Amino acid sequence: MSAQDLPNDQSKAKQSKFNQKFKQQRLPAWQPILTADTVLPAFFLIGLLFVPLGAALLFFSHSVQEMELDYTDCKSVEAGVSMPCSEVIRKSNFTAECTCQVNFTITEPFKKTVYLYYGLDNFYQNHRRYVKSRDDNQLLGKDITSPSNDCNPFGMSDGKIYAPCGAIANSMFNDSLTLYDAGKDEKLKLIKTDIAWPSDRKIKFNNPPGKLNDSEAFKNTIKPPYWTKNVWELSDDPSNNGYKNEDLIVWMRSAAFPTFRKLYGKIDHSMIGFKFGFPKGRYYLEVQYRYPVDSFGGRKRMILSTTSFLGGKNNFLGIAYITVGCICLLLGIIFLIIHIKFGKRAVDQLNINQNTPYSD
Amino acid sequence: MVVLNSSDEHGLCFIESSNLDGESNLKQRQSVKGLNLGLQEEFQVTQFSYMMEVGPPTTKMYHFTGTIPLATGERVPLSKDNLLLRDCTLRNTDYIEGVVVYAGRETKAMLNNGGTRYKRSRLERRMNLEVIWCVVILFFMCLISATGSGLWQSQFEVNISQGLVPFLLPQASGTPLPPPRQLNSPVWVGFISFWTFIIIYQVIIPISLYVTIEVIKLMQVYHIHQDKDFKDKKSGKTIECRALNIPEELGQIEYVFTDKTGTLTENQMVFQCCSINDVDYSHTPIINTSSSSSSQGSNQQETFALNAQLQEELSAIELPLIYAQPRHHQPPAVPQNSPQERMIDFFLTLAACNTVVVAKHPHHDQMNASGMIVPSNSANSSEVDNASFTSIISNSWAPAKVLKGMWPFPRPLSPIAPSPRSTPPRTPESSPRYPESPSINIHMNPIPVQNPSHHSLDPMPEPLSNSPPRPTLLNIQPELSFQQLPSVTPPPLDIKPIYEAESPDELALVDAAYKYGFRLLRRSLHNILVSIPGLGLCEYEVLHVLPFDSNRKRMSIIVRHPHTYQKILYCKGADSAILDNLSRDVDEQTKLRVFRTQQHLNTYSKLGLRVLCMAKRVLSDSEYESWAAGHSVAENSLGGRERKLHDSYCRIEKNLNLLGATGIEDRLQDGVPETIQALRKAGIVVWVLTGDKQETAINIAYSCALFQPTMEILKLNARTKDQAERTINFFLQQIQQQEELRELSQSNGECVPPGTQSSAPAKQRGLVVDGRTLLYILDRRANLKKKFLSLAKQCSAVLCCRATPLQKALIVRSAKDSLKVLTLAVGDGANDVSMIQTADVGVGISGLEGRQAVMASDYAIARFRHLEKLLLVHGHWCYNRLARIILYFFYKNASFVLILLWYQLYNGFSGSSMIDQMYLMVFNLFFTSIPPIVVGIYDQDAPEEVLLAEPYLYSQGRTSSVYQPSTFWFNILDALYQSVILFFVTALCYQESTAGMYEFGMTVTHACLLAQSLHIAIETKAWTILHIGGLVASLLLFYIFGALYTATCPACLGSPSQYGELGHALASPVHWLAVILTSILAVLPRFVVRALQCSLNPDEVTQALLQHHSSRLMDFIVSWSASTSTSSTYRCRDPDTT
Repeated sequence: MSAQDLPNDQSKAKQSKFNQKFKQQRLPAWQPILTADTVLPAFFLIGLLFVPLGAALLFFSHSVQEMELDYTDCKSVEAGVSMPCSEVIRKSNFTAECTCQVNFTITEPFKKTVYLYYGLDNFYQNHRRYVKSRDDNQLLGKDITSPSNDCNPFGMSDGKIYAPCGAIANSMFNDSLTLYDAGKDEKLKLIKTDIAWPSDRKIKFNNPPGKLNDSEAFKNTIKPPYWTKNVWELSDDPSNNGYKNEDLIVWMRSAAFPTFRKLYGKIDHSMIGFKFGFPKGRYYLEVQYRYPVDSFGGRKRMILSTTSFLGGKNNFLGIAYITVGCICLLLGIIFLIIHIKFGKRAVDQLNINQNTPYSD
Repeated sequence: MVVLNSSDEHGLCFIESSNLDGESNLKQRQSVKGLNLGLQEEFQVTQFSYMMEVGPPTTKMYHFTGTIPLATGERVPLSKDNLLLRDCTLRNTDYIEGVVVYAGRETKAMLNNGGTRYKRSRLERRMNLEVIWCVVILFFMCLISATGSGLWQSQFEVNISQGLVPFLLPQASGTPLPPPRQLNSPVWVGFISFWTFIIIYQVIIPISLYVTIEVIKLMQVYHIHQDKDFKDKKSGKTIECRALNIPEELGQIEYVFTDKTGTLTENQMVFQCCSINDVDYSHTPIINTSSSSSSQGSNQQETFALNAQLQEELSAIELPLIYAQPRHHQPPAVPQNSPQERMIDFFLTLAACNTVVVAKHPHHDQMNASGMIVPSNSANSSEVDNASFTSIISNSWAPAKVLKGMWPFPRPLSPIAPSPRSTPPRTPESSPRYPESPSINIHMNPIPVQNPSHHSLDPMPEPLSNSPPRPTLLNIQPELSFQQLPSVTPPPLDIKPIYEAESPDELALVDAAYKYGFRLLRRSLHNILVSIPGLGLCEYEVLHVLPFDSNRKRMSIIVRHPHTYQKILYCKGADSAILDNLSRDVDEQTKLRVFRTQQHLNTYSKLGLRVLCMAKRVLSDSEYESWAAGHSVAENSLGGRERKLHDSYCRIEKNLNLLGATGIEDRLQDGVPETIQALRKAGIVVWVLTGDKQETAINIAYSCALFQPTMEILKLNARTKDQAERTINFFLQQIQQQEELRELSQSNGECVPPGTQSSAPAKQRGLVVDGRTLLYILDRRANLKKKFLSLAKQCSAVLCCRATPLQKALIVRSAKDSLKVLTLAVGDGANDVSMIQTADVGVGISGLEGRQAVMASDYAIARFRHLEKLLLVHGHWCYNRLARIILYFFYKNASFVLILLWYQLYNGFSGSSMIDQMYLMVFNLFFTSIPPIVVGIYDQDAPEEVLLAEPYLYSQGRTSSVYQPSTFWFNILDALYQSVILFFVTALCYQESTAGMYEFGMTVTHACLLAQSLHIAIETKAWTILHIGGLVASLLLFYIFGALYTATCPACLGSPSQYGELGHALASPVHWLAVILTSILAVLPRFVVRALQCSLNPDEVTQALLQHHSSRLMDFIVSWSASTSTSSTYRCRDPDTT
């Protein structure tokens, strides 16, 4: 009994001792004073850590290869129509499709997996009312019969539910981007799966039960007003269709800033010649131009990019780290000077103090 | 309720009113007199049919008037003595019957209860001002955002023809078809979004701050309450924090107003001098007993040694009386107006003229006393005496021997046998309750028997019988003389009656009289039983008691002498009150006597003693009758009764015959001079407000270090208004001249370093004001207040004597209002209540004078010296902590909101936030609330030892240096900078990326949390396990909450789902890189500024800390090299310097 109780008692005694000290405000305390000599190591430590880290980040950022192509004003390829596709679709009151082609040349071969992004400028996907205009329950495939009020005015129409509802879904980017090898006039294969977050893909977006058509899963639904296809017609791949379409999933994740890029697909590196990346050469981009951006003065871009572990190309982080590191080193030196110049005072005090403490 | 009848035969009942005023002594209440006469012996409720007229309900606890008009036209007066208040407890009374006069909300307890005062501290007022600034900032932020919103919206107007803007929702119409105008007008959008922004940005107004501050204050008060140093070992009392919301005020006090009696002094009166028949008898106080137990009940410790000369003279008086008595079988005649008579009367006044309650001894006490069951009948009393006698001897042996030397007469000169057994026939009244009563027997017994059997029977060794320090000249039995030494007797032997008095003066006097043989044995409403040496028991009939009040400054008692049936008025009061009312037509000798006594009085007061004069007046029957008639009219009057009674009292209290005077020492409490010195070093101006005489007060002021010998004392004793004004002007001019001279000499002497300017010999002044002058000064018409205060400002210490309670309060108020300073008032008595209530912080001393002061106070301490730690340590801490926490909160909320503001630049001022609603709510509530609370409760900018050793550090709070308006703006600027860093640096990290809005928001939130944690880490002055725990807890909370929230809820709460956000963010290197970079960069300036401050221009506290550390370090090195373990005492370690 005693053997078992002993540690218990000890811990109890310890606890009561702690309690006592706590009540008397006499807990052991470490009282750092931020004098020059105390803060010196901190500055040097930060400086010495940040500068190399920044250099490494810069290196990683530079290792990323990127190619950007603005195709907003590209001209229609159709015979007899020599005006920009944006004009074409506006004239048809946004019902016509327009195909256009943009040539580009890769001068430096890309060495790693290449991702295809589309970029939009001046598109405020983070607008307060826009961000809210979605129904997560509907996208979960759970409750498709009554859209959330957040979706209004893209919730219901004539008793039919927009699938998917809300302004975000309604405004989904629907240009089709296809890359062609200009020399071979050969279509480059794109992998359209695994481009969204796994968590989104697996859990956040689910189709309603039943076959993906308007009689079972999407019964009593209509497509959003700006859409040209129904939601179950987004892809030929059944696992990438309906709410589980990854383009939709990617689009539904609101971008942080009005200038953003979203992943469109991955270059299929199983193609001949693409095994080690993206070979140099002449290519062209064929766009099924559907998405109007003139109304908000936006731009559309196609981006080809490799990634590092940091994601895309971003020199800022590296530069920032180097700058902050340098500032810290500089401060460290300044404090070193201060310590050498003024720190002696503390030593003097120490000597005086020993004999005459607290005397003025 | 008004008592009509009680179980007591006299209609008395006893109450304890500790619930009301905290006084735990028994108070006597009596049933209404004059009614019972008509009701015969048995009181029957059914037969009670009277009208009762009572005053309207008031809050005055000790005031009640009313009458019962009788059928005969008489009016039976009702007074507070008839009234039992709600919340009183009935004691020692079996039952009472009465009429409820006030009920429910009209009871005095309820009326006094109403409305607890809400004091708002200076810090809080300052804070409220800044909150208003926050509102202004909020308004501007909203205005800017709303304008931006409108402007942004307007840029899409022109493009409307080119199609719909996909991210702008059409006007809320049921159809998605484009209405004629897709968008609302920019002005309308701006207007709407203004209100949206108010909701979004309202976090900048730190509502949570108020809650947090209350929590912090509560815990601070808890810590103050727990502090062991505030425990007074003697009384077992500890600090009592009655106000929960002003602990930080303690750290900002500029003026301390203190009462003298009971606050600076013990209020445990020690009878020191008396002057009878113009002979000065002084008594040496026995100092070391003061440290022994001193609870009110057993107030029998030996506090002074009896004056041998006085004893001798007394016995000289009584001896003839004793011999004379039995022979003539008639009351002994003391020559009228003889010195002897005066002496007896003097002591009689001491014993009788008071309101002392002689407590009863419950029977079981006696049983316990001797360890056996003693029946209360007298048969066994001798055994009791015997037992107690031997026990006394054995116990008192050692101290008695020490005392022996004091006594010039080790053996009784009296021929009367000292043995209790020598007097076998006991009078029936010799009950154990009054064991003194045997003395009557002996006194009555003329035969001086030195009983030979005494020594043979008693097993005592010879020296023992000699040893007891008997004031045997008094000719009393030995056990009685032993009983006067209860400090050496074991407490169970409670033979002396317990005296309980409202004022300790009375107690001291009764005690003194007791020691000289004049024992007050019983006191009831109508008679007083006093044992007088030489006369034995005398039962005086009390005709009237004219109670003490502060206007008359005296009290009187009119008694009928048991033998001569003379009606005698004994009066006791302040010297001025008595000396002015002495009879004028007296012979030269008396005049000389009065003059000499006055001289003695002056000597006493110079010694710092409280003086009281005793006087007597023999009333002729006719005189008495006429006065009594007038008095009863005054008593029965309803309107203006107080004044009429006062007049009536004054009518009878004149033509007095001076008996003598007493000087009572009011001993200074422990540590008072040190405390006052520390307070003054802390820069606190100490004013002493007392009702004492000027000489007494000045003496006390010197002895308690209020005045230094080097000080120049300015006295204001004006008798007219003009004089007061002239004196003040004169002093002001003088001071101005001195200042000019000093400045001149300073500017001439060029070698005055700037640092020593303050220590340049600015002559310290002390100001003494008396009550009369205060009257003129405080008179609103006189316009002297300002001048007086400016004069007082020039003085480092002010002493106001002869001040009435109201004047005390007025002084405090005028200082508070005119000088705009924070005031603290300390007092212990009822007369300090108004002062305590007026001051910003009221501190009550839970001393002997009741608990009214404590009830009115914000903090009640047991001893004055506790004030030092309360202010210098706890006050300093509380102020420092709270000030820093308030600033931190402003910073915290502002930086968080500003981050949201910056985001509006990127989302078209739409009011969107990249941080999820849930996080917005929880961030301030959970993630960043624990560390500031911990700092607010537990941080110490300097350890206790340093603060106590360096009182000047208090100036930090006094000058509010931690929380200045500039520091507020400095913090807001810091918040601005930090928000810019946190937002824009993170934004740049995520530019041109696929980052989602909430991913970015998560990074910013995380960075903001880290920055705010680092911020508080920089602000933390002393790290304890709690600080670390707080920080770790808040970080953990962030992760745990995030994990739960973003992993469990793919679609809930109506806001866009946060599913997977945190995991995704934490898995991304950019997130971490951005978080680390921004949080460090954000707090860098503050860190640099703090470090620069500490190393280049450290403030006083840091300097003191540095010194403390280095001395500690030296100690540590020395002791470490001596290989002794001091690590247990080594509290503050600095790893970089070790």
